[in-house]
Amino acid sequence: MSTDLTVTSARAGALLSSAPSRRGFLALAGATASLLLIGCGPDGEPAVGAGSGGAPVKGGTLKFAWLGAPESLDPQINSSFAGANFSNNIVDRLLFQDRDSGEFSPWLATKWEHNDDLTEYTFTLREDVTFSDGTKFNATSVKNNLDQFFHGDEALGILPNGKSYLGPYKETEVVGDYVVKVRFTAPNASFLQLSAHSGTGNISFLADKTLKSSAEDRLKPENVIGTGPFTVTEYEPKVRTVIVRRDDYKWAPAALGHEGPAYLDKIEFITIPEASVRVGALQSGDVPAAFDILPTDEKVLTAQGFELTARINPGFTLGWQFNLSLAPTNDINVRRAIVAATDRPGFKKTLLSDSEGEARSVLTDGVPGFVDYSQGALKYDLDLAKKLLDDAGWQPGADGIREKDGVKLKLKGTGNILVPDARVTYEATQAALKSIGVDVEIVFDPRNIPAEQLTAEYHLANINRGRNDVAVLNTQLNPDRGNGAVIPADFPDRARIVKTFDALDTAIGAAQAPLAKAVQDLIHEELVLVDPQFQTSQVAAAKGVHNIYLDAADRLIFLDTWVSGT
Amino acid sequence: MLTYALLKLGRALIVVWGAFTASFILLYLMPASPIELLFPPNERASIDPQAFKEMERAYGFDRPTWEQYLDRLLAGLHGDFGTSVGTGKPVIEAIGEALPNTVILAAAALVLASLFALSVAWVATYLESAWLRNLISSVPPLLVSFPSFLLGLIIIKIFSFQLGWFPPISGDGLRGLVLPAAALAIPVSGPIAQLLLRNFQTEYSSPYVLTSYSKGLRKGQVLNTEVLRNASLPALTQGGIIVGELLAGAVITETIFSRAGIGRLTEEAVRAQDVPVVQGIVMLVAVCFVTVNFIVDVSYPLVDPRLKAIPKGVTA
Repeated sequence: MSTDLTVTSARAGALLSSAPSRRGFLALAGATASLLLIGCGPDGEPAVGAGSGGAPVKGGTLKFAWLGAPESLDPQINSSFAGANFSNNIVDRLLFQDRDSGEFSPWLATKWEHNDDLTEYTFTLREDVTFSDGTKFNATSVKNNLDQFFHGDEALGILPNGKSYLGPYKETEVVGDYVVKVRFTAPNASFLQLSAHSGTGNISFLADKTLKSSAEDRLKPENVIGTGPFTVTEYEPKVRTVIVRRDDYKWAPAALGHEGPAYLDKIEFITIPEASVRVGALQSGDVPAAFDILPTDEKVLTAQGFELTARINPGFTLGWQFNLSLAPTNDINVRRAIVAATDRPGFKKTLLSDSEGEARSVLTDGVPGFVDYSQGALKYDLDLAKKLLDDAGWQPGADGIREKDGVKLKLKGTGNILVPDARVTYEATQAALKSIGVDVEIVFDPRNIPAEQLTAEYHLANINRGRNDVAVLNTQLNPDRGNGAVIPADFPDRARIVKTFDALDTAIGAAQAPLAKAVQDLIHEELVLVDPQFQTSQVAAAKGVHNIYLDAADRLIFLDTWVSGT
Repeated sequence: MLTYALLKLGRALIVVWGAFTASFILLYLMPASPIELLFPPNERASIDPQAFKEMERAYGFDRPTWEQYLDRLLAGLHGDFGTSVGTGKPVIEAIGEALPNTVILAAAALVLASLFALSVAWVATYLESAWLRNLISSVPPLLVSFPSFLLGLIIIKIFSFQLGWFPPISGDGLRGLVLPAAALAIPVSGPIAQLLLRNFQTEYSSPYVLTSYSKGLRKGQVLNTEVLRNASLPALTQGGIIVGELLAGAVITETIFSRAGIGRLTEEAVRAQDVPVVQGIVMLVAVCFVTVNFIVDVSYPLVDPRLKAIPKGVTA
């Protein structure tokens, strides 16, 4: 099955299913929503073609089309993909994370250290940083922002947006004008990465005026004040967001290799929710650059001379988590057989786009601590899958579906409609499993299934989660936290499993690598908790626009972007 | 007449209250807490239960159901449907911002649709040639069955991307309104045209048409002066349904043409399961339906004198 064919049929299906329901108002809305939503997912892979085109030109306006729109201007509640991409350009982070090595370098903080327990982090800040209203960025700014992010402010209608991301946050102490100490009640190894993070749950520093504004006032551009290279000037919800350059910006992270203010005068983010219209607007020249390009459009756009900027979405690879509390996925041989029947290298060869990658671990390739299992536990071997099931006593029944002690090998799984190729790969895995006597029923849009029902009825649950840190495994799979594999309370050796996960919190950098490997060994070799399918990507396409930059969390930074003279 | 209007008004209020109650039961009493829907299902399990409780309390979802119902009903009477879970903006404000765009779009589409439907019905009745008449009569069913999603994409592809006559992203201004209004009008005009066509044919075979001919009028004059008026009246009763079709069509049209309006608001609220916004929209739609039907009911006896003769009891 070729990619193009699949796309055509997916589109046709979409059109057909939208046809009949004119009066079912909400039903229609829901259906439309699912149709139109194809296409926001995380991504990665080294940029193709960025950086060409001679010396940068200063000035100009960039019209940039994308799928979503910031739901608010407040960077602290911008948890949506578009929201985080917008706010990434009006705020700065304490640290900068290298997108390839995952290493940290100075940004707003010049120095950072932590105690041995990882419960106390001390940052020394740059002294020349100002907010766009002229006020100084200092240790008090860090404290006020972290406090409000964690606690919220009921009087202003600000919710505790950062509560679940800051974890065991205790307090921030202002040690000096430009020295600040952040304390936690328990070890928190991932805080360093969070202080450089630009995706969901990122820490954004806002001026006092913003912190004192109510939730409602934070919808007005003049009240949203950060330290970033751009400031927001116009906001028309769901239509347009405009940011303009700050001429006195001079604290770009050294690692980006860009000094001084940004090149562009102005960026206009335009929301075009329908994917084919977005690509059409690009092709007709209505917009020079667009984001949220579907993997299926990559080939066409490249052929038409567009430059693509694409990266793998760092974090948890897209795939299934097994439900260890439900029969028959509580049988490890069934889980091993499913993993062996998933043809990951085959997907990369025949189904995926250039920007998407073969899954080699539960982590994507770029996340520090990643270990490659493609030749080991994740090797594709359909014969092995069959043998595993035979040996475990799962015998083919009259209808070809295997069974054991009266239990049929029939599974329920969820899919992912936001990433179009997820459907294709899940269907391929489904077909491969069918051929060895395993029946899988997939619900492709799982968004309306309540969490309880998911754990009570589904053997295979789709997961795809961004965060350029091994901590993502801890939050998602640790039986005492996310428990994504639904490990039962009486599971043998549960305490040791929890301990192995918890250990991730207690080390940073090189010291964390062996702990990260231990957790991945546990996930893939010992317990078989997930069946990764592939690594998703984020893609931007442009003509005459240079240096579109996707950072370590795959969010856009427009500091270095410029447009050819007009 | 006053009793009649009051009866209709009372019934309208009951419908609105019913819609509020039904939407409350359906939306707020769903097995999943609306707060649960704030988090991606993937991440739900890793949210700190304490943080979850605080969020629930902040939105008032932790109180007993009947208390929430009474509070929300009382607030709803003042036009307050709470704040959007997604954006933190009051629902009434979000609707207020979106409504003008949709009203303009729907009004333009309604004018286009009515003109088109009327032309189809008029021409199909006027023509003498049976096969031509049948050909034109088959246009409305075609429009009804054509997927409006596909239609919008085809229109934008041809007139924006290929011919470049109109912008693909409809911002302000009349030029940006043409394509979305046409895309919305075409499917809506189908049912109106079907109804008018039928009425034209029924009226045209009525005895009074023979009388008009015998007075020496020509076919065009008969259609314009006699048939048109009598055939259009029943179309009025379709008002509520047409409003519903326009609003439902706006969901698709506004998405394809990147317009911010009630349709997009609906699509996004349903997608994000932003319960307060969904309920606000349900109430808006209910009020629209009821208002249109009320106006139609009340004005009908004024337009058609025969209805005044109907005994009061029958209308209640």
